[in-house]
Amino acid sequence: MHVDDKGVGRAIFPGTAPSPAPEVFSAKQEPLEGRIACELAAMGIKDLRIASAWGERMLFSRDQAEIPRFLKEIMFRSMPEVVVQPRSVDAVAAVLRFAALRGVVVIPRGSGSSPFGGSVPVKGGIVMDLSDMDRILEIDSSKKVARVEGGARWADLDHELEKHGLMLNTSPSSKFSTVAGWIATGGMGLNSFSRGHISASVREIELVTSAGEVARVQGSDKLFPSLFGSEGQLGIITSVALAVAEKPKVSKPHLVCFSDFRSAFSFAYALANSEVRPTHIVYESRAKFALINRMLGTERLRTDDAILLNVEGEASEAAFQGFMKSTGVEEEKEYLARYMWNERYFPMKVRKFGPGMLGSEVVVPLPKLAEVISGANGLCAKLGIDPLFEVHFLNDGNGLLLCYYVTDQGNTIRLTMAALKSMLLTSLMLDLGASPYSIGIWNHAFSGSEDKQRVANLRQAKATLDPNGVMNSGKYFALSGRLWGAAGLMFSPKLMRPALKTLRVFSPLTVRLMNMVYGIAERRLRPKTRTELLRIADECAMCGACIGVCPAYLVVGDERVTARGKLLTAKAMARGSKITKEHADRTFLCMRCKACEQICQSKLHLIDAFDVLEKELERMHGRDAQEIERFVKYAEGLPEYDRLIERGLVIGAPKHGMGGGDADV
Amino acid sequence: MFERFHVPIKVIANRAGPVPKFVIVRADNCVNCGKCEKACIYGVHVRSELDSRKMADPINNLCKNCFRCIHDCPQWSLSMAPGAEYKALGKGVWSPLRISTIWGEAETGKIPVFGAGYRGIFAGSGYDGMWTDMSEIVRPTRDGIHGREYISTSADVGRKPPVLEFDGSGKMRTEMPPLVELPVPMVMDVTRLRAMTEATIQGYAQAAKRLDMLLFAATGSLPASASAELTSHFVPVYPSGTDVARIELPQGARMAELSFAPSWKDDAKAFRARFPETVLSFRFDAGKGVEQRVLDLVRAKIDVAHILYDEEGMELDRGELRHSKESLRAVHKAMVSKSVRDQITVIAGGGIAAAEHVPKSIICGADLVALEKALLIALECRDCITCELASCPVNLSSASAEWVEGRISNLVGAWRDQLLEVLGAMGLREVRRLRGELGRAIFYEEVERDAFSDIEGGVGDG
Repeated sequence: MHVDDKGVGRAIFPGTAPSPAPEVFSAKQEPLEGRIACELAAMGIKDLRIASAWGERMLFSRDQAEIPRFLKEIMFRSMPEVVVQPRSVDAVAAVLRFAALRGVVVIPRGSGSSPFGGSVPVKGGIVMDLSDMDRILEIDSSKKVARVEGGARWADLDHELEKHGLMLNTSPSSKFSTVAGWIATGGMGLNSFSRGHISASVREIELVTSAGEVARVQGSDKLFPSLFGSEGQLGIITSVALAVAEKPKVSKPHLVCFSDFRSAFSFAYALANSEVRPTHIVYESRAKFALINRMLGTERLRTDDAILLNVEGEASEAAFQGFMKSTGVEEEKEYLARYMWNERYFPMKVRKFGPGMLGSEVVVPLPKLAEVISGANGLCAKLGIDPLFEVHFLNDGNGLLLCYYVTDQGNTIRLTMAALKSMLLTSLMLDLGASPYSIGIWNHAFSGSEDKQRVANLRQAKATLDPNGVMNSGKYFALSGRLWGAAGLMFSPKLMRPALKTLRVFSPLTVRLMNMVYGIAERRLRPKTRTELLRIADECAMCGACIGVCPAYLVVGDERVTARGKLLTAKAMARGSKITKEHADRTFLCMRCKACEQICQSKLHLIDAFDVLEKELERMHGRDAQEIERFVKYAEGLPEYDRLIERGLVIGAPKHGMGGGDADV
Repeated sequence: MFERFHVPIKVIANRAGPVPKFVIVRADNCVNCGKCEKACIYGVHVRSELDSRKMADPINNLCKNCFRCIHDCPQWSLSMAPGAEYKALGKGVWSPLRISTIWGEAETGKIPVFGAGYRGIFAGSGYDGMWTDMSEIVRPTRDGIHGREYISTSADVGRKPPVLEFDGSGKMRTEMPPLVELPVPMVMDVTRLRAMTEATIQGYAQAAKRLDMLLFAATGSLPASASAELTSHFVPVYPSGTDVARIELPQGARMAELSFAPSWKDDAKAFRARFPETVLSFRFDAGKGVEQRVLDLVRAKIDVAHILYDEEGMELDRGELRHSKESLRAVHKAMVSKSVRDQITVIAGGGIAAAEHVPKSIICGADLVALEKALLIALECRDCITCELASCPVNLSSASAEWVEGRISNLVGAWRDQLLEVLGAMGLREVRRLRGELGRAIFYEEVERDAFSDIEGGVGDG
C-alpha cells in the first residue's frame, strides 16, 4: 500500500513512546542559610538532610498548638537555626557530636503533634526531625515483639502488626504521632486501663546520647523509667522494641449514657472493679456529644455524660452483659458505640468549630476526679467557656483528664485570652490535686507539681547522659528565652502560679478585665476578614496525619509539600511573610492523590485549598510545569510509591468507586 | 507505461466528536496514581496536559474494551459502560459496529482491527449467513500470491460479444460494444441518498475522478463548477418517462443510465441510435422475476443491468422479498444456464454496509457493487431516523468538498485493501474471477440443511 502521509492512523502511544521514568529527582536546591547549616553541610554527614531555608524552618517553629505569635516571638527564639532529618543512627550521632562540640541545643521532634511545646525551640538551635527514621525493623510473631525506629508512626506499625494477626498494646490518641515521641512525652493513652503505661510495653530503647554514643536501655536498667516523659532531655530515641498483643477475635465497644458525670463515674468505678476487665474505659462529657452531633449534622447521639468502653474476648463480653443486667442501665446502640470508639483517634476534629481549640491535660487520682471536674466546670462558667472533658481511666488509680474548649484562633486577642484561661484552668486543677501530664513550654509554670523523686531521677540521668546540656536544654528544669531570661522567669512556677491563683480568686474581676481588653482590641483592630484558605488553615488540627501518607513527602522529604506544610505556608503568606521562589515551587510538588484529604480527621477540603494557594503563588512566582512533570514521572516510577498505592494511601479508607464521595460516617 | 493503481490515503480527521463504544467512568476516589496510564496501551488514560499531576478525562473512543485499567486500578475507581449514544446508532444491517467501522475507515483509510479476535456473528440474515473461503491463509505460498500488489481489482462495465467473427483477411468483423474499465469493482451512486449538499456532491465527484470510479447521479445534480471537469466519471441517471430523443449527454460521458419503464425497448433503440459509443445501463428495483428481466435485457443487448435493493439489501418489488444474496444468485444462475453471463454487466446496489459485502455480492453474481449509504456514513452521518440538514448532529451542510473527497478516498482505499485480503486469502489473482464463484463461499442455510435435514425434527425437509 502506498502511504501519502507519515501520520497515517494513530500510534498506539500518542506522540512518541513514553520516556522512561527519570532515575533521580531533586527539587530546586535552596541556598544554605546560617552558619550552623553551612558547617553541618561541610561535614558531609551521610543519611542526613539539612533544611535551612526560612520557609522550611518556619514549619518547625511550632507544634500542634496555635500560640499567639507575639507571645511566642517576644519571649522565645522559636525559629530553629537549622533542621536536620537523619536517616540512620550514625547520622544522629554525628549531629549530636557536632552540637556538643559547638554548644548548640538539639531539639528532638517526632511528628510535632503535642500541643505543649516540647519540640519547639526556645533559643534557636537544631531541630532534629526523626520522621524519616520511620522503618519497622522487625516483627517477631512468636515472641510478640516489634522493633521499630523512633520516628515510626503508631498507625503504620499497627497496620503492619495487623498482617501478623497482632495489634498494639497501647497507643496514643494521635495515632500519627511517633513511637519515640509518645515515649518521651506521655505514654498514657488508649488501652492504658488494661495494659498500663507504655513503659510496661517497652522491652528496649536504643538511645543516642549527646556524646554520640549508642546506649541500649532495658527494663531492668535504673535509667529505664527516666526515659519515659523525659521530653527529649536525655538523648535521641532511635529505635524501640515493643511488646505487642495478639489481635482478639472479638472486640466490641460499648457506650453507656448517664444524666450526670457523677453517676457516670460511679458506673466506671464499679465496672473497673468488676470481673468484666474491659480493655479501656473513657469518660466523655456531654459537650463532646453536642459537637459530634453538630459535625454529623443530626442529633444522632444523646448529649449526656457517657462512658465508652471496649471489651475483648467472649468471656469478657458475657461478663459485661451480666454486669449491665445487674446495674439495670441500658447501653446505646452498637453502631453509635462503634462510631465513638473509632473517633477515639480523632479528638482534634472539633477544632474546626472555633476554628481553634485550647485546653489542658492533667493526671488526676480517681478519688479526686469528681471534685476536679466540678471545680473546673465552675471556673469555666465564670470565664465564659464551654469545656468538654475526657477522662481515660488508667490502671494505677489515676485518670488522664483532658479538658478542651473551642476558640477562634484567627483573632489574636481572643486567642491570647483563651490561652490565659487555659492556664487558669490548669492551675485550678493542679491545686485540686492533679499533676501535669506534660511540661513542654507552656506547662512550665506547673513543673513543680510532679513526682519529686521522678524529677530528681531525671535530673541525675541528664547529668550523666547529657552533661553539656545539648538535649532540648532551656526547658523542663528551667525555661530559657529572650529578654535576658524574662520569659523563663514569667513562666517560672514561683512567679506564675501565685499570679494565676490571684487571677482565679478574683475571677469576676479578671473576666471583666479580659472582656474590657478584648473590647478595646476589637474596636482598634477591627475583626479580621478571613479568606476560605485561611479558614481551612485555621481549622487544620495540625495533627500531622497527612505527612505519613504523602507520596510527595516520600520523594522530597520537605514538609512544605505536605498538606500541613501548605496550610502553614498559607498562614505565613497571610502574615505577610515573603515566600521565596523555591518555596513556591515546592508547593506545587503534589501528586493530587488526595491521601491527605482522605486521612484528614477534620475532613478539610484540602485539594480545593491547594488550588487557591497555588493560584496565589503562581501569580507571584509563576509555575514550573517542567519540574512538576519530572517530579510526577519520578514519583510514579518509585517502588516505594507503588507499595504505598498498593497498600492504599490511607489505611482503612474505602477502596471502591461506588460514589467515591465522603466516607464521613 | 502503465501505472499501478493505488488509492492515496491520509488521515482525514473527524469533524464531529467521536461516539465512544465504551464509556469509562472515573470515580471521585481516583488518586491520580497513573496506574491506568501504564495499563492502557491504547492511550485512553493520559495525564492532563494542563496539570500533569492530574489524570485527564478518559479518551473513551480509543478504548478497546480490554478491562486492563479497571483491573489494575488500585482504588477500584474505574468502571466501564457501553456508550448509550453508540448503542443507539443506526438500525438493521447498519449496526453501531458497522457505522463506527466505516467512520474509522473513512478517517484513517486503514483496515479496521477489532480487539480480542472475531467473536461472531457466524450466522444470521443476509450476508451474515455467508462465509467466504479463506483457505489460502493456512497455505500461503502455494500460488506465491502473497504480494497483494499483483492482485487485480479491476472490473469491466459493458457487454461482451459471445463470439468474435473475422473475415478472410483476418480482420475482425464483430463490432465491439463500448466498454468502461474501472480499477475497482465499486461505483458510487448518490441518486437514492438524502441530505445532499452541493459541496458533498462536488466532493464525491472529485473522489470519483481521483479514484477513477463512476459517480451515478441525477442529471443536473452535479454542480456547474465540477461538471465540465468531471464528466467522464459522471454517469447521468434519467428518471423513467424521460424522452430519450431530448437527452443531452454531458460532454465526455462514457455511460448513461435509464430507469426501467414499459417502453424500455424503444428507449434503448432510440438511445443506441443517438449514442452508439456510450455504455447503456438500465436500473430497476429487484423483485419477483428479476432473473427474467435481466435475460430480457441481455437479449436486447443492453450493456448494464443496475439492480436496486433497499438499505437492508432486500428486494424492493412485489411478492416474497429476497435478500440480494439469494436474488443475485438467482440472476447469475439464470444467465449461466443460458450461457449469456458475460453479455451483460450486473451492478448491485443497496445494503452494502461493510467491506466484506463487496466480495460477498460478487460471489453471489454481481460484477460490481454500488456504494450508496456507506458514502454518507463515511461523512460521519449518524443515520438518524428523521434526517434534516438543518438539524444535522454532525452539521453535514458545512462539510467541504475536499474533506468529503478525502473521506471517500479513505473509505474506498480501506475497502479495496480488504478486498485484496480476501482475494489473497483465496489465492485469486483478480476479482473478475471471483464473480459467481459460489464454491468460494459457505451459506449457513446450506450447511444447516446438510447437517440436519435427515434428522427427524431437524431443519429442512427431513
